[in-house]
Amino acid sequence: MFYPARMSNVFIGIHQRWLGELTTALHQHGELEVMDLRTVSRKEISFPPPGVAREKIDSIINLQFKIDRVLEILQIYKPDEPGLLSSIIKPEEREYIPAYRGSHDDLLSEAEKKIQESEIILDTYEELKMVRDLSRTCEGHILDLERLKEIKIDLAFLNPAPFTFCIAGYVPVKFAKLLEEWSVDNQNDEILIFSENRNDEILVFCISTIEYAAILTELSHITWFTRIVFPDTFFGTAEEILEKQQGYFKEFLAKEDELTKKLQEFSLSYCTTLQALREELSFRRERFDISRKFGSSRNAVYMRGYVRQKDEKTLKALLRSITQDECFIQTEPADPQDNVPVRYDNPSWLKPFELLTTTFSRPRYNEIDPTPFFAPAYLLFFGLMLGDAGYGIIIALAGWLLYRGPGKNDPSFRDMSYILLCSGIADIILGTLQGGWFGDMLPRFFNIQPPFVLIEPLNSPILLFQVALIIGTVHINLGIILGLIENIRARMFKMAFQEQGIWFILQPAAAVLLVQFFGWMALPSHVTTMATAGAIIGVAVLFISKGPMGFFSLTGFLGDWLSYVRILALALATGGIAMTINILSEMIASVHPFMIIPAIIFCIAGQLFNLAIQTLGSVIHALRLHYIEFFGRFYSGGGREFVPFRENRVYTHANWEEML
Amino acid sequence: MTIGTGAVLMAIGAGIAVGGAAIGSGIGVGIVGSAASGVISERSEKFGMALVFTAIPQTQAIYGLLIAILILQAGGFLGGTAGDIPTPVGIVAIGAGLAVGLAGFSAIGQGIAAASGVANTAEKPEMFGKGVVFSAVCETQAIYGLLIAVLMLALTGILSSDFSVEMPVAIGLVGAGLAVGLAGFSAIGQGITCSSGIAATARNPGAIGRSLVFAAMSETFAIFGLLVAILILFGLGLFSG
Repeated sequence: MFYPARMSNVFIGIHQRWLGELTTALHQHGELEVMDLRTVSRKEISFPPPGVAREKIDSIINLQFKIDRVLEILQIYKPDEPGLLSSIIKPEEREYIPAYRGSHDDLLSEAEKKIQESEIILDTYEELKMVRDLSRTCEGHILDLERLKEIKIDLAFLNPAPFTFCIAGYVPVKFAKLLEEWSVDNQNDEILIFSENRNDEILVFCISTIEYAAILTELSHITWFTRIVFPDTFFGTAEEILEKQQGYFKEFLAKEDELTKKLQEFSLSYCTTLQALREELSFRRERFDISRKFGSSRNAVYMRGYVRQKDEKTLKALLRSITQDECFIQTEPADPQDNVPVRYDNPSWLKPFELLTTTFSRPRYNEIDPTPFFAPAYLLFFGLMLGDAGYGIIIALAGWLLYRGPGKNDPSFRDMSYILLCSGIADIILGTLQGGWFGDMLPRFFNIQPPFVLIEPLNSPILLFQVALIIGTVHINLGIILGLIENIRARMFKMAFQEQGIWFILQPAAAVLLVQFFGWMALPSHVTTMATAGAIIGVAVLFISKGPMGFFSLTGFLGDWLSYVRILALALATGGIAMTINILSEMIASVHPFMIIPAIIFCIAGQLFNLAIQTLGSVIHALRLHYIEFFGRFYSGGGREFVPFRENRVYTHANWEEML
Repeated sequence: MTIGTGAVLMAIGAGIAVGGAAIGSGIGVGIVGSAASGVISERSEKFGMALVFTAIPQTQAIYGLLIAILILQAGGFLGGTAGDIPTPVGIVAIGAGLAVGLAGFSAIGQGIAAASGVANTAEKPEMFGKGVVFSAVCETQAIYGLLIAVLMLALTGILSSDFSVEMPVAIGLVGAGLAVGLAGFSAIGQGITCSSGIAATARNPGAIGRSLVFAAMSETFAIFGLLVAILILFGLGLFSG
């Protein structure tokens, strides 16, 4: 619990006939982190990786690609996932598809079959794209025909003719001057230009002999002119064609709706199945890929990795049962000098707090895991800093709702909601001891004196200041003791004295000298003399071991200690702002009886704002006190995460023990 | 009802407390807010994360508001009963206002660090916790300011409406307020170091410890200010009684 899980270095050899089955079993049980054997020199023997049939991997990649193509379409038409609020109000357990139990070849043919079935999805999507294109074109024609519907000419005139060239178009009114200039420059006996003002645009018809077609073509390329073009099949007046086009447009829209609904239905029936199949295929691919890390000789395959010492027996039993004893397995405790992976080893109630340790840095293999110290101190600091039982109830309630809602399906959400729930409970207890119930709401509005009050920050700031400094002293010294233990374990006695031991001389000496300086207590002269000698020795050791930087060690220690005063600062801020909101609400309500409702609304909104901002502050500063003041004394982190060769199932669910 | 000079000075003290801290917080939030706007223009899903960083430098304004409220409450302003308060009480309030108001400028440094936190977390979500911690480092100066302000009001008895503080003590406390308040400006330098510390940690996660050491060096000067303020409080006999 106080150190990461103990690991063993494992070296395995099997007869190659068992490679497939063993890889599958290791993948399903997920206890071994496989290391690349090519990077390990083992008695100067090199092991080439076993050969893998490339076509098998290619067929998986090919199927995955085809499934991805269909899933990409289905994702667009998938019904929206329930939001955070609805998952809180109506928590639902995600339904998982059972893991595929058939053989590798069966899985491939099953996937192939499903892909063939889902061809209809690709066809439907293609059809939808085509209908959309037609509908957009039709919409464009309708807009152009609307422009021309009052002009009773046959649109066939706009088609190419043997001796004349005719174009129609429109120009925004703001470019009228440019059109006029162009007309003056280009109009002649053989080019006729007709224009008509329509609301905010000018409709333009130009007709010329075929010799001048180039000039009119040039006009159609000018940016302020938009040419109206219809297909050759448009005959008759605009009004006649418009009616037909509007009919077509309605048909296209209906077809678009029909195809969209069809795709939404496909999404419901195919999406989960295809995602599950894709997941199964990716596991198969991982099993082929992992063998690149193995080594091989004539008939044997070798692998190396790390396993938790707790899981060693299970791994050995699995290996023997799969290979029918045609194997060997060597295990030895991992050497901390190697880059040993780190897996936390905390009881389940402490596990969610590992998230907070990892946010700073994962411990190194041979380093103390600070989580068991972190969790209780974090809750204590959070509760003291927020210090309001009313807010604590809201936070605990929010944590509980998130835990039983979205936390059911999302492990990281589950961890965060668990921390929130614990933080809320801590705040209820410590807030009660500080007498905070939405600030001073109970005595101010209901004339109730809060029970079980020990320290009221606003009335006894000096007492809370002293409590904060005592907590700081204990917390920093816990860090120093942990650092001392670590250095003694590593047999670095000199460093243990210089880095940690010295503070057990300096602290009491400084305390005696401070008491003497401020005149709080009369001390015998020999105590003062000893304290002075202790302080001189302590400072001397610091400067000898660290040089001029020893000065910063002294100021750093003082700064770290005084930093715990933030517990008082935040407790005062929560209570003070909540009290201000209550006073202002009271003032609003006292203006007129009708102002009671706005006063209540103001009070609720203000308290919620204070809850949000002070909760954020309490989380940040509780973390800071750990990451800087506490960890600075003994912890550096930087460990590598233990990543076992394991099936990470998202859409499917497997219980291999049950299946076997 | 006669409003005495002491009450007027208390009002000025409250104004300095909230006004100074609000300027600091305003600039700090502005710095991180502009970085947050840049981030969400490219990645709108980062809004929640950016909002958390933007909220960090607001705390100084809350501390300023808190001291202002405590002063106004002690002076009877909130109940409409501010009256003939002795002048030394008003001067102590100005000292408390200077302590927390000037120390509130630490929010500028916090804004600089938080801006770097927003930018780096947008690229690397795992930097969120470290970014928040580096940003929180620069708040210590504001906490020192708040601490001295609270100690001044509590040890002189003003918080419990005991207005017997003497004039020389009150004027001395203005010095204490200036010591801790002006030393709070060291947070701007600390913010610059923290900003680079966040970038360094994003590039090399192992650099967090040493980056924090560099950041803590600027805090030394704030500790000098705090020490001088505590020595002034001690010298004026506030710890003896």
